[in-house]
Amino acid sequence: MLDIEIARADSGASWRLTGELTAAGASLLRRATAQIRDATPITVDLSGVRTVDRPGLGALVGMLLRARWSGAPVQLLAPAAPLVRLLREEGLDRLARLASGKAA
Amino acid sequence: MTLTAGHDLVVVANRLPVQAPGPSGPWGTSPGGLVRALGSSLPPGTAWVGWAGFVDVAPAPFQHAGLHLVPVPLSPAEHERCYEGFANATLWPLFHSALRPPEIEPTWWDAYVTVNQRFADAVADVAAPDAVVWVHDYHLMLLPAMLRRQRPDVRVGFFLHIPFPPTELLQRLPWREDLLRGLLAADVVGLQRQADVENLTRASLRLLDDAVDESPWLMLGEHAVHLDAHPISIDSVEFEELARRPDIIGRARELRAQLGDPTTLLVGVDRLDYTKGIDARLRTFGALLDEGRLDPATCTLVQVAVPTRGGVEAYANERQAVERLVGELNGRHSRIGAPVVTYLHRSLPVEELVALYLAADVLLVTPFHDGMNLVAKEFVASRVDGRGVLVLSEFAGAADELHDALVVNPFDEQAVADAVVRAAWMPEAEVRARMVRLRTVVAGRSVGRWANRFLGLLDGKALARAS
Repeated sequence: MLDIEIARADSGASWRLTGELTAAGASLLRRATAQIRDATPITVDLSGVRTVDRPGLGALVGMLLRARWSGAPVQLLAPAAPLVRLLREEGLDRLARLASGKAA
Repeated sequence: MTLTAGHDLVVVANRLPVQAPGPSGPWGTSPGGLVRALGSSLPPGTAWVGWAGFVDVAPAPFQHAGLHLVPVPLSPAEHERCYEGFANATLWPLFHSALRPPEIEPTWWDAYVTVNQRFADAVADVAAPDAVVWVHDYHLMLLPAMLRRQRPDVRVGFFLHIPFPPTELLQRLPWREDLLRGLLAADVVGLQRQADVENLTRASLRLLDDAVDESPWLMLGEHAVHLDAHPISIDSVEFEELARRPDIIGRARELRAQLGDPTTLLVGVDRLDYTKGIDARLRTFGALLDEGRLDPATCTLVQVAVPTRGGVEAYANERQAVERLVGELNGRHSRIGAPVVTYLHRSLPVEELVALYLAADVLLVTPFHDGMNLVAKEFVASRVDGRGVLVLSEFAGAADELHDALVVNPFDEQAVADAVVRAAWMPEAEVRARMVRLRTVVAGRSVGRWANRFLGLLDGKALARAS
């Protein structure tokens, strides 16, 4: 299962993804993506993501593209090296800034 | 619909991996093709959805070799319009450089839609929640979208075994957008060559308004599909083991003796398909004999032409053309009891095939267009003796990997002729050096690894664990 918590502040939105970013969670992420409507910066904390598959990554790519088309800069926080490597291999570093560490 | 426990992995292909003399069995594993490719790579309990090979009757689901087989029925009209018609007289030529004019027939398209939906229904019934569904080949290109509508929870991978055409060819198809959207509803689409990935990407960007290229992803609205090249391979260990068996080594010697112990034995093994270039190969061989560059007394060709798609007119015509050429060549150059071309219109058991590979001095793989061509890899895997020369078309997917073959343009008959002569007279040291390098490539890319890699794309466990 995937949980998505979204907190909004004047400085931007914080998304925290927890659980499995897989096919089952992809539709949830797509629904959340529909909320991106302006250029508010977004930080996506992936530190709670345990497992990823291609459908899940595909939903994340969709989210990053929607943000780009809305003019919203995105930072992905992914502390685990394997996930950072995967995101780079899949070209997601072209769509968002990757950073280690957890969201404040 | 109520979901039962279902199967975590469902393979979907036009045919089930079994054959039988009648719809009530007994069922045996089918030789060759996708079955041989996947072989033991599938975990026990995998479901396989496909046509059993008999029109109008479909056996009930049954178990075979650890697989749960789910037959999908086809009526005679659906077989004619969908399989022989849209799949093999429209898509097949369209996806193979229009070597024969693709036939456009709306009733064939209607049948293709109907049959794809029936396959999708069958998959939806047997797939467990969040199952991985692996769809194979051009017969089922609408299935990903149909399945997505019924079962949004499943992960869908699609592998296209044949080439993907350039946009300018795909554009001929009145239903090109439906076909692309059907295919691209998958989560992962695998193709044989990088050139196929580029063709699919370009066609999507040109023909679909909402397509966005974020390689390796293609976006269609909010849906992202992962596109990549996954060149298929063979179970090289199986061929190596066969090639080391004393009885098969003995059979290879026997074959050469039966052929009159030629100085040069050329071999071709193909389905009897107009894409394979058998007729051009025969013409080239004839020209070499006519010109005296090869000696009919010491050089002979064995051509195995595996029967296929006899109900499609273009295939019947191809058979006539090939058999006429064989007759002409033998009439012109053979001596009594020693034909220059030995022509077999049948499939061979794998043991006999490996013996033929071992007996050959030169294997001719000269298709005009071919997704991969596994015969080339089987030959290399079988040459445990380090001998044999491979002449390989640059229009076969295998040419991307097998650089130490003599790679030729099959449309340039003079270049093919020169390559055949070069192969026939190649110094032993060069033959062995090339084969060593070819064998390293084939041994390093097994079909098991191919299947695991593809399935790994869809399986979160195999992909990445962040913690």
